[in-house]
Amino acid sequence: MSQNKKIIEEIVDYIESSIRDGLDEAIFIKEFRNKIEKYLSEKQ
Amino acid sequence: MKAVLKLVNIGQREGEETWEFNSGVVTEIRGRTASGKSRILKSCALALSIPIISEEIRNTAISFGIAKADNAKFSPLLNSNKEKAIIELHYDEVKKLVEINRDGSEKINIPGNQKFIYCSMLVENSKIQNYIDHGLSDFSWIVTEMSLAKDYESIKDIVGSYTDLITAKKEEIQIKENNKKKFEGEFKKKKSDLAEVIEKIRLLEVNIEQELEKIESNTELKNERKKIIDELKDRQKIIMDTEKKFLSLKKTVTDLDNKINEKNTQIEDETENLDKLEQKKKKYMKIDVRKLNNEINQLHEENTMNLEKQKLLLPEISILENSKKKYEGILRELDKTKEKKVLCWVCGGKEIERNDIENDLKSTRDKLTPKREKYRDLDSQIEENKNNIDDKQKDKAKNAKLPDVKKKVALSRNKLIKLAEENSINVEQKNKEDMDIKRFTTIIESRKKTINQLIEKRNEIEKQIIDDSQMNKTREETKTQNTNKGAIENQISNLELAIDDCKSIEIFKKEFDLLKAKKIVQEFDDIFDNINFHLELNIKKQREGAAHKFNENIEKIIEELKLPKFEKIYLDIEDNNKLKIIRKGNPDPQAINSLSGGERVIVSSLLQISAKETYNPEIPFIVGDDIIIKMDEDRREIFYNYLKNIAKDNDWFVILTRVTDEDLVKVEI
Repeated sequence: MSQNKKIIEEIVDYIESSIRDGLDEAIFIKEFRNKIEKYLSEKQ
Repeated sequence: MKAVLKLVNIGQREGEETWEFNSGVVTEIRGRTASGKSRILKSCALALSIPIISEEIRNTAISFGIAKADNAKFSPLLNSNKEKAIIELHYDEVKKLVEINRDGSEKINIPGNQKFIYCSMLVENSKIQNYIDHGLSDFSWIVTEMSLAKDYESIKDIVGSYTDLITAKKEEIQIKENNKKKFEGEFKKKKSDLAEVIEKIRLLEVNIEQELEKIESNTELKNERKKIIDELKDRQKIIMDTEKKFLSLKKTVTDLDNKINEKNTQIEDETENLDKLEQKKKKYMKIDVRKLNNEINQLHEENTMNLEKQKLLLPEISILENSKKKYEGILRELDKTKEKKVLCWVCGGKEIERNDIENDLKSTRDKLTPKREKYRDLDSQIEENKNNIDDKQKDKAKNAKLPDVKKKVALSRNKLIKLAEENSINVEQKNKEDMDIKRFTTIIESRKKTINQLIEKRNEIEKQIIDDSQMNKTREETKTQNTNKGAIENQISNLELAIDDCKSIEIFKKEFDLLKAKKIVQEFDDIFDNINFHLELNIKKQREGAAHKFNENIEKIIEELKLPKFEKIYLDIEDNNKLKIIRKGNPDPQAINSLSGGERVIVSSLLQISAKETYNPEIPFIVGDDIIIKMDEDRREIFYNYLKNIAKDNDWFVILTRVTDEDLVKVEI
């Protein structure tokens, strides 16, 4: 699970650092993280 | 190590049975055809592999007779007369318990690893064997299924679903823009239609007027009517002037509203921007560059030491491997000559007992295994340190951006103050205009009420003085035109609503005006492009890493098996992980279907063992169902010896089945 957790962190960090000024990303990031975590936990 | 496998109602056997296995040796389960050998291996495999999530691995498990097919009534391992079957597998400190029910459900107390199905089951119809038998060289699925590439690919699918959503939003924005233009065009036309109808009504009323004058009637009523009409005209003129002023005032307020909203959006955007910059500033200020530099230097030093340690280990490993090969060579020689002693030229021509050589070999292997493990541990440590160094370098780079961020924070604050000042002037003016609008609304309502009262009074008088068919016809026409006017007014009202609806769009549960939505959609589009690029890189990296490990293990196995005809067997990373086979004396890769029947079995078995050593080494089991049936005698012996060695070296349980004329029996070999 630690490897998978690292993948999630990598992707979400990447999106957060890519979001430019003025864009409301909060809901999107939350949904995105939930979706990936759900997929990976089902796979375990 | 000992493994105990307890089975209840598995396959054709009803009731309980117990099998015990020792690690470090190869155990054969022998018996006649259909005597129940395979179900023992399959039970073992099921306990070690479920839950199976991957659809592809599940299909393989179904073809092996381990998992239940979708159209089957119950698991292939459950006895057809029983409601429930149980598999218990105990080894080391692991106690696995699997319950198979007739309704198709399966329960397990400790989850297994689905990779076991691909890596640790040597069977005639394994996926690797099928690929080799059909001459297929594309083995990219091994590295994808077994590495994290599969996870990255799945995340790429999720990103794809968001990309589709953004594409749909783009289309929706375009449709709204087009509709807005269309509705505004219709709105303009309807307004012009309305003006035409109003004009028609006015003309009809003039006609009525003229017709009325022609009619002989009560002079008193006519005079009274004329008086009312004159008053009506005066009042209508007054109200038209008031409405004109009212509309002009309303336009001023709408313009002010737009200005205020625009400023508010700018303030909202700028506040969010400032929040983010402040957070970024705090985050970057926390980074201690001196500490990071010290840590990086320390990690570099640690890696230098690790490399030194590896250098020191290499000659020791090489010496031990040479000794191991030497003892194995002498033992093979003794196997051929059937002698119990041998003249050892290395020991000065002394005679040495076979037992002594076996003991020496064991002692060499015992020394070699920890050295190899230590070498591998150092490799992992070096890799981990490199990753840590990369992370710390990234943090340093962030700290360097701090002055720039501070400057941006100051600029953003000034911008916010300026915007707030500008907006307060607009709000003050709007409040004043709002008061005037209220005042005008009251005046207009009161005047309209008076006009309506006058019209009612006029109509009442007209009823008394008019009785003429032409007049009635004109009145009917006026009524029709009034209905028409009402319908057009309704259409105009609906168009206003439709235009309003086209002005904004919902993205990620928030409402945005079209212009901002377009900007957001474009930004997300760019971000998804970048994420996809990032994911592609990781997928490639994971696949290459998995293929390298796999190739290293194949090379090691070929060397240990001493296969006389093969120079090299490997997955070609440069050629989409295709399997390449190089025979001795011919540098060109051979087509897979050029392998003989026996070679196919040996190549697929060694690929499978490499997969086991690479991707599934933590589970100490290999099971094989009738795998030697297609091997010739020589290869069978080489392969068995190899299995014995890996069982001994790794302390694994290697359990095979073999068709014989005996009753079901277990034999250690």
